Parts: sequence; C-alpha cells; structure tokens
Amino acid sequence: MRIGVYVCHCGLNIAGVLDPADLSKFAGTLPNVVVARDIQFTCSDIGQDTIKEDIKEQKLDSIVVAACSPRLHEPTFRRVIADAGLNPFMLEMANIREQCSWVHMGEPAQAQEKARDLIRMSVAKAALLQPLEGEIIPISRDVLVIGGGVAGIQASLDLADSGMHVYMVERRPTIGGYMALLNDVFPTNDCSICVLSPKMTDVYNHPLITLISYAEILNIEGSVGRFTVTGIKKPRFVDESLCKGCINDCADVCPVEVPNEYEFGLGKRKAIYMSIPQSVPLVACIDPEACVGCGLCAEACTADAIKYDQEPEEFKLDVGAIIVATGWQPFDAIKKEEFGYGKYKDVITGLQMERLLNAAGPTEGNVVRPSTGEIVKSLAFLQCVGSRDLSVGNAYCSRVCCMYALKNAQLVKEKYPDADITIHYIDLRAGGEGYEEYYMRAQRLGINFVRGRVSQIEEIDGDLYLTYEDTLLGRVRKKHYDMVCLSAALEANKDADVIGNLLGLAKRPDNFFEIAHPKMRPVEAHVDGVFIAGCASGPKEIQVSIAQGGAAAAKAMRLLIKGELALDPVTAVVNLEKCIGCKLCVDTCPSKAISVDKTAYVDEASCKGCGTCAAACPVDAIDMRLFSDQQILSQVRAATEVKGQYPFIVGFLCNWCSYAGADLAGTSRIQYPTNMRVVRVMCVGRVDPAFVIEALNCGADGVLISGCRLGECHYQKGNYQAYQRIQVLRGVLEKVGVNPNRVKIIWCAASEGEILAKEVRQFVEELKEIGPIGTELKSLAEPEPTWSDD
Amino acid sequence: MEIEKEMEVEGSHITCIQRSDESVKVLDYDYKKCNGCGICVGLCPKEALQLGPVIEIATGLDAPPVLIDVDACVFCGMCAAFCPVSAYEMRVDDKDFNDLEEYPHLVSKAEPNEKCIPCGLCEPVCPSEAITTVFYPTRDDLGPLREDEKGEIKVDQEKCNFCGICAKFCSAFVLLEKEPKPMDLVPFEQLLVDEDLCDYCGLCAEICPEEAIIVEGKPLELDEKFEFKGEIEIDQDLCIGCGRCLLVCPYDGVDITKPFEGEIGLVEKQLPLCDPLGCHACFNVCPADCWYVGEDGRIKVAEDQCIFCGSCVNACHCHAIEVARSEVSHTPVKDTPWAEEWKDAISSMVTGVKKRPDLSGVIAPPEIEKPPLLKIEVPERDPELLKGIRAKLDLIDLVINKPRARFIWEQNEIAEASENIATRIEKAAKKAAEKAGAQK
Repeated sequence: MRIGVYVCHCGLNIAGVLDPADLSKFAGTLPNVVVARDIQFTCSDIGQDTIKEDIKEQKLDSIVVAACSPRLHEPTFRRVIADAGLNPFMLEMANIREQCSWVHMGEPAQAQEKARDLIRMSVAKAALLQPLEGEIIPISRDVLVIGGGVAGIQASLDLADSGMHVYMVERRPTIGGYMALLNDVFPTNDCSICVLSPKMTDVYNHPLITLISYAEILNIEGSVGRFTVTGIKKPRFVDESLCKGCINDCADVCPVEVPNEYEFGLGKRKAIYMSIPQSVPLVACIDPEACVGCGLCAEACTADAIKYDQEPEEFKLDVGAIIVATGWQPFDAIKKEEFGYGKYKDVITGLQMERLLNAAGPTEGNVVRPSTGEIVKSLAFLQCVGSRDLSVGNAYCSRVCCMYALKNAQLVKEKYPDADITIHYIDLRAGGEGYEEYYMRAQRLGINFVRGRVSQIEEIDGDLYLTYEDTLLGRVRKKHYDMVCLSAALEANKDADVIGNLLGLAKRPDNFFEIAHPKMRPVEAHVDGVFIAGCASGPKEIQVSIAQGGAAAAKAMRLLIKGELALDPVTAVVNLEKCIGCKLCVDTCPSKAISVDKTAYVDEASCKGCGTCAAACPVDAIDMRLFSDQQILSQVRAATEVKGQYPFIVGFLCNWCSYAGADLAGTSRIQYPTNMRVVRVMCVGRVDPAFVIEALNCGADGVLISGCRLGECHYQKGNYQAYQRIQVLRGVLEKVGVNPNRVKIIWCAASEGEILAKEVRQFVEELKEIGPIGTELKSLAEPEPTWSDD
Repeated sequence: MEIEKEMEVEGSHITCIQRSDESVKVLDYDYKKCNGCGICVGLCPKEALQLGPVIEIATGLDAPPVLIDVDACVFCGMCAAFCPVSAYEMRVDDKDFNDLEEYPHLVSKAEPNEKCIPCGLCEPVCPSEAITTVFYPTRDDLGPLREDEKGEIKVDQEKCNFCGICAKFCSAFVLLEKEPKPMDLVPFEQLLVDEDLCDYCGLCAEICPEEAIIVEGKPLELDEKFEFKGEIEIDQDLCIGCGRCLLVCPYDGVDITKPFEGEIGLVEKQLPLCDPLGCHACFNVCPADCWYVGEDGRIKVAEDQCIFCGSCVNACHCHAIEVARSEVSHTPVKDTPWAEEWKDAISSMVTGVKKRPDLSGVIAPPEIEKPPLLKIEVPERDPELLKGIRAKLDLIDLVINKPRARFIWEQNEIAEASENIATRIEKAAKKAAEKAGAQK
C-alpha cells in the first residue's frame, strides 16, 4: 500500500495552532507513507492538483487528508482522487481542524500531539481501505414540500415548473403562511397578499403540484431518493370538490363565535370559517373545537358541501427529496411580564398591528386602541421583544423587526399624521437594499427614535406609561402612550419539531434547524436529500425566503433529475465461512435487512450501514465495508501508540449526531481538553465490545462512546443497542476487576457541541479521580477476582 | 521557475538582462543616444526608470540621463517601444521587441514618395543622419574627360534650387555649403562650376530637374542611353520623424509620420533667465536641432521641425519651455490581455498621467515569531499495571466469541446479563486453568 498524506494549513485555521510542516514530516515517517506534504489550502485547485499529480506520479493507492471534518470535505476529496483514477473510497480524513486546532487553541503542544495521533490513526486505517463500488439505485423524482408559506410555495412552483412532481403538505386549512396575513411589506410597501395570492393560486392550479392542506405528517422512513412519508389529512367536514368558497351562506348562519387565530385574537370568526378571504384551497372548514353541531351550515349550504361524516384520510407518499419549509412562530410576548402583554389590552404585538392596518382585518384598516376603540394618538414600538434577550433564551436578532416596525410606524403616521410615534430600539438594523433609505424616510415623516430598552410598561387609569432609559441622553424617563406595539421575535416553530425528529434534523442552540454549513450550504440539511428553506433555518425576510425556496428547489432537482442515485457502499457483508447462522444479527438489525438461511444474508438495498450487526456478531462473521473491524481496531491501536497525556481517552462518535456535535464545538470554538482521540463510526451501534477492550488493552485510561440522543438515532435504535451492549460490558468489567467507570456512553445531538465538550471535560476529571489504567488493581485487596481464588 | 536579472555596463551601453527557464530578455540602453526626454520614465509601469540630472547632462556632464533599477524592471518593453530616439533596444530571445506585432510601438518615419527624384538635398539636413543617397553613374564612370573640348556652361542662379544633383554627378560642380539653420534649411548658398573639370559633355543639363544648367559644346557619345540614377535610403530606426527632409525638399518628395503631434512654447516670464548664447542646453538635447537664436537675440524654436519629445523641457534650467503632446503615432494595439495597460501608456504620453496600481493600502503580515511547539512529556505508565489489566481483559476474551454469551449480552436485562456473562467467564477461566494444570 502506497499512501500519500496531505496536511492542510487551512490558512491559519490549522496552522495558527498546529505546525503543519512538522505534522507532514511526522506523517512521512509512518509505515506505508510514500509522500507527505503540507499545503496552504488542500481544498484549493493547487491542493487538489498536487494530490492528483502525486497519485499519478507516485502511484499512490490511498490518500490521507489531514484537514477539516470529513463531514465538510470528504465528498470533495473523494471526487479529487476519483479524478486521478483512484477508487473514491481510498480516502481517509484526519479531522485536525474542527476536532483539534479549533478546540485546543490554548494548548498547542498537546494539540500537536493529538494531531499526530489523528494522522497516525488515519494512516493506519488508510492502509486497510478497499476499493468499493456504490450501488446505483432508481429513485423517486417526486419531492415533498413541507409547509405552504412563501418559501414552500416558491420551492413547489420552481420544481413543478421544471417538470418535477411536488406534494405540498400544509397543516393549516390554507397555504400562504404568515405572509398572507401581513398588511404591506417593506421596503416597497406593496400589499402583501396582493403579491402572494397569485402564487398561492398557481400552486393550487398547477398540474404537477398535489396540494394536501389541513394535514399532518405522521412518519417519514427511508433515506435520500427513497423516502416514504405517511400522514393524515384532517377532516374539514366540507367536501373540497363541492365547496364553492362562498363562505357567507354557511358562516352567516353559524351561531358560534371564536377568536380568530388569523387575526391574533383581535377579530372573531365562526366555527365554520375560511382562514382568510384568499384561502387556497378556497374551501370552508369546520373547527371541531368550536362547532356545537347545530347543523345550520349544512342547511344553508346550497352546494351540499358540508359533510359531517368526513373522516381523517391517510396518505402515503414516495418521494426522493424533502424540502422543509416549516417556517417560524411568534415569540410569546406574555413571557416578558414587564411589558404587560396579555394583561393590558393596549399592548399588542407586531402581527396584531399588521392585522389592524390591514383593510381586510378586524378594524378595516383603522388603528384603534383595543381598550377603547378610539383612533390611536400616541404609539410606541418596542424593539427586540424576545430577540437579543438572554433572559428568554434568545441570543439572536430576529432580523426583520426593525424593518417591520419602521414600516408599520410609517403606515400609521401616513394615516394619522398627528399621531405621536416613537420607536424604542437597541440598535436599528436596516441592512438591505433600500432599507437605510426606508429608515431615513421614517425619520423624515417625523417618527421619533429613542435608543434604549424599555424596562417597564405600567397601566395607570387606562393609560400606558413606559419607563426607559434614553441611552443617548443618559436619562431615565417615563412617558405616556395610548398604545404599545411589541416587536416580538421570530422563534423556531415548535410544531416542526415532529418533522425534525422524523428526519433527524439537527437544531442550533437557537432552536432553528441547522443547515449543513452555515456559509456554504445554506439550504441543505445534514441529512442527505433533505433541504431547508425559509425561516425554518432562522428568521429571514420574505425575499430571502423566496430565494431559499428557489435554491432548495434547484438542489432537489440536481439530486433527483437523473432518477437514480449512487449509494455509499457502507453496507454489511457476511463472511460465509465464519457465519454460524446464530441469527443474533437478525435480531439486532434495526432495518430488518438480514435474514438467515443456514448463513446470514444481507439485503444490501435495505441495509443502511449502521454496523450494529457487525458489533453484535459473536464470531465476527459480519463486517462493514467502510468501517471494518480491522480498520477500527487499527485506529484504536494507532491512537494509543504514544498516549502523550494522562488520562488518555479513546472516543467512538457516531457520524450523524455526536461527531457532528464535536464538529460544531469546533466551529463554535468551544474549548475542551485534548485527551481524547476520536474514531468515527456511522452509529454507536457499530461499537463492538472488542473495540473497547482493545482500547483498554492498549492502555487507554478511558473509552467514551457517544451516540445520538435516545429516540433520535439515524438508524432508529442503534443507540439503544449500544447502550445495552456497553452497559453489560461495564458490568462485566466490574466483575473481572476493571473499573467500569473507565467506559462511558453518552448522548449528544449534532447541535450540542457544548454538551460534547462538557462531557469530555467531565470524563477527564472522572478519570483523574480513578487514576491511570490499572490503578484499580492496587486498590483491590488482591487483583484476582473471587472465582479464581482457589 | 527561477528568474535571474543582471545589469552590465560597457561603454555607453547599459544592458539589463532577464533570464528565465523559457526566455532571455535583453534591454540595451545606449545613454549616448538618449536625449533625456523622460518619456520612458513617465511610461514605466513599475517606476523602474528615473530621470537623471538632465540639466547638467545637457550642459556637458557625462552621465546617463535615465537610471534603470533592474530589480524593479519587468522587461515589458514599453520604454523601448516608445523611445523617440531609439536609445533603447530590447530583444526577446534575439528578436527585436519592436518587431513583435502583439505590442504597439512608436512610429516615426520618413518615406520617399513618387515625387522624389531623388536629389539628395535632404541628406545633409537630416539631424539623425538617417538618410543616405547613392547616385550612379558619375561623370568619372563614363570615362575620362575629353581633352581640349570647347564649350560653355552656365548655371541659371534664378532657377537653381541647390538640389545638388549635378554635384552628385560631376565633380565640376562645387556647392558652397552653409550651416543649415532651422529657419533656413537649405545647406548651400551657391553653386559654382570649375570649368577646368568640365568637358561640356552636357549631361548635367539633362539631369538638372530645374533646367538651370545650360551647356554648349560637343555632347559625349555614349554606347548606351544615358541614365542617371539615384537611390535614397532612409534608416527608419534612426529617423525621428522631425520632417526636416520634407521641409527642405523642393519636390515634396517625402511622406513624414511624426511620432507626436503637439505644441511647444516658451514661458515668457521665465525667459529673462535664459542665456541663449551661453547655455544652449536645449540646443544640445534637441534631437531635431530645431532651436535657434532669433534676430532679436532671443531663443526660438522651429515648431514645424519639433517632435515634441520634451527633452528641452527637462534640460532647461530656467523652466522656460513647455511641450504639450496631443497625439501619439503608434502601431495598432492588438487585442491582448495587456492592451489596456499599453493604451494607458500611450495616452499617458499625452495626458502625463500614467495609471499605476495603488498599493499604498497593502499591508504585510507582521513578522511574529510563532513560539516553537513545546515537546510534550509523555506520562510514564506502569507496565505492570497494564499487564494486570490485560490479564483481566483476557478473561472477557474467553467468552466474547461464544454465541450464547453474546445473545445474552445483546438481549438480556442489563444487570442480569452482566452477572450471567461473569459467571460464564468464571467457568471458562476455571476450565482454562484446569487445562493448563493438566498440561503441566
């Protein structure tokens, strides 16, 4: 085996902490390595060309790139070596950036030692790599778009216009999302629904879009190219094909009035209702939580569309890709008790202001004090309510509030030029085309701006008094207003958690879905075949959501357009000579991909490659193609060759959550001790007790196994099986006289970089308490366990 | 790729050489040819050229008017392409740079046209000695003078324009020379005939373009028809395009391409400082010899002969001269990646402004020594302890490949599974011990 090793400087990202020249010199001394170089940017053209040339000239068989996380650039370098004629799977990456230089900035010497170990591990694995061929499978070209807001609408239309079939699933009775409820949109003051409604009807009328509204998704199975989605369409109790959308006939006679959620409580609706006049589909809906069953609507409906016996309809979709456009939800302003929202009627939110200003809203466009119904004379806007506020757990800026407050302030001022309007802000953020000019316009209109957070709103004799510090004047003031509008934050949509869990999407600390790379892959999820558009991945303006919808559509097309997909050859493979047909693998496989007829047979199309079977197999007859026993054992041995630090930990991190979490710790620069050497596995279910034993045998002081949080395993139950296996191992270790606390299994989601770092810190401390491996032999009366005393 | 640069000085030649793996570029600067106009200095994209003490040089100092920083020079060839006096010669792999079509270069030339006789009057007035003429046959070529021939020869001074073609043919004509002056370029003031050297053959009358010679006598008999031929050659490399040849030519027999168009003028208020008879710096540097002292004793310039190179401006200690160029005559700028830069260079000769990249905002990384990574100390470990641990772990190995144990491991309730496996290990250990004992 002739191996080439390429150590990346990554500018100063790596070289700022580590010494890449020393690392490449070190790599050159490792067995099988025939060329080792350090390169400024390995992923650059020059870096790629260097690798390609070396492969040809030095006749390299496999390549080690010591650089960033394989989760970032493994596809890049696989393509590079494939271009040079190598099998793309003859690549191993050593993660010396996210999991070394970025997390050990204060300990360069130990970080360097860790980087050497990581390179030694990669070289050891690289020597055992085998060329693999990915299977090409036919896939569905249909796309599921979850969420019918403006991002989902744009994605669906772009896909359908390009000839792809789209299923759009929307949980509400109408599509349109929040945009359909807004009054005007900044910075042009276009009427929001006027520009959106044509797109909504296009969705409905498009022959290639199947709109499933008022529906919930219950389950998603499968993976990229072959997702199977099931859900139910809730009963509207109105036949969609018969309803004419005339609504007045039925709603007029309905005797039940409830607060209208589409007016955010400022208006009311009947139990049979249409969300908004421009609803798509234009079909009435009976609210089962309000209807009293009087039967009047059925009598009034001339089209006989009311069907009280309608039942939930199940649906099942086969799609190749999924676009998550689940949007956002408003921050619950009640949490900011000091502002009295929910207590004082004249304190409203920005969304309520949208409805007050809206000609189709509860007041037909008149901005009135909810307490008195009088036209507003003085109005304060409070910015950053629930944004940039750690007291409610939101560190982030909601990005649109400055602009929508500016817009609403202007609209009110234009309508009531005498009104006294003030915007209380921390920083006014008007970054965008035409935004700063919009801000200047607001100033010219005579809107007041006060810099500083409002500390309290009090209601005295029906009037509101704001207490605030004007930080520009350095004075605390108290001022009276008729009405206060809170610019409430945009938060992650809690209702989307179900979708997130079904798909195994990672969340950021701000609770929005995490995208595959915060800069370079803005609409891709960590999960192949899943794309995220719009506010599901964080607050955005409408035009950005639309752009993302289009981008997600393009990404989905790129993936599905050929109708086939090359799978990673990560599957399990059976050594028939070793197999004893014990069927333990059959029981263990979470994908039901293994059957036994004398010997085991793996259905490669069903096998997801978690490796739980290989870890369970008593006789090591099942192995994984890409994460083989020998490869992992060689990594463990390479990791422990020097043990430059005490305590010394070998870690096994699952690719999807914990390894991603460790990467996130890196991108977030969360520092943790250098003591651990990580072996990446697809799933913690892959961790064979033999790996752990080998690590201890080689002198590791501890072994940390980290998987997805329970219930979030990419392979459904790999982490449960790992838990069982490791816990039993811990029991056995205790019995034979090895301190079981040297082996620890934890859970860490892809969004939990901080947790991973904390766990490592804690484990290091615990191991310091326990002492170096073997210390337990001293503390026991005599090392021999009881049964071998005789 | 390695690039080497060097500079050699030999006589008046300062030679810069750049060698790379692929090419050798030689820029040869002959400072004796250079008149210090400084066009190259203004053009140089790298500011590798600097103007020397031209005022002193113009009044006698022997020094190169332009100083070359060979390290800064990129051998682009702009200086060579636009030098109006060909003080530079650039060779790229032994090819003359100005022959390369992909780069424009200055055009200054004089080309005889169909009206040229030629007569050769231009030859002595060319300030750069670019013109040579050859005439044949001469009277001597046609045989010796006939003895004792009688006759008469007369030159009509009214008609004669001193073209001198007769003198080229026959040594009986003597042209009285005078110094050509810008205002009076004709270098002769009288045509005389030495009748001692004349045999009245009459051929001169045939060749006089103005029929200004009248000869009476016996014509010379010739075997062939008499034909007097002249050839004029203008070395375009030497020609500076001043146009003197055209101005002196009685027949408009030459087409001129001036290198530059423009204006030259004197700054009145500076003129009191000028010492037209004492200084002569402008006279000395002017490649076209177009300066003179007027009848009023003041300095004057013949604008029609000026090529607007501007060397006089640099040479004048009293800053009394102004030159403004309005046009540059050059070969076409081909569509190349460097076309814009060369166009800018060309326009800079008119505007005086050459765009140069402004690197003043560029900062270099500070030279911070990264402290060398400290050697880590590998903690010492007790091999005995590890041996002990291995002995313990080996016990687990006794059952790890037993299917029954592994079923329990994977599937039974955790505490019970550990217990069960421990029991199995115990048994297996005993068995192994017995076996070992038996072997002993």
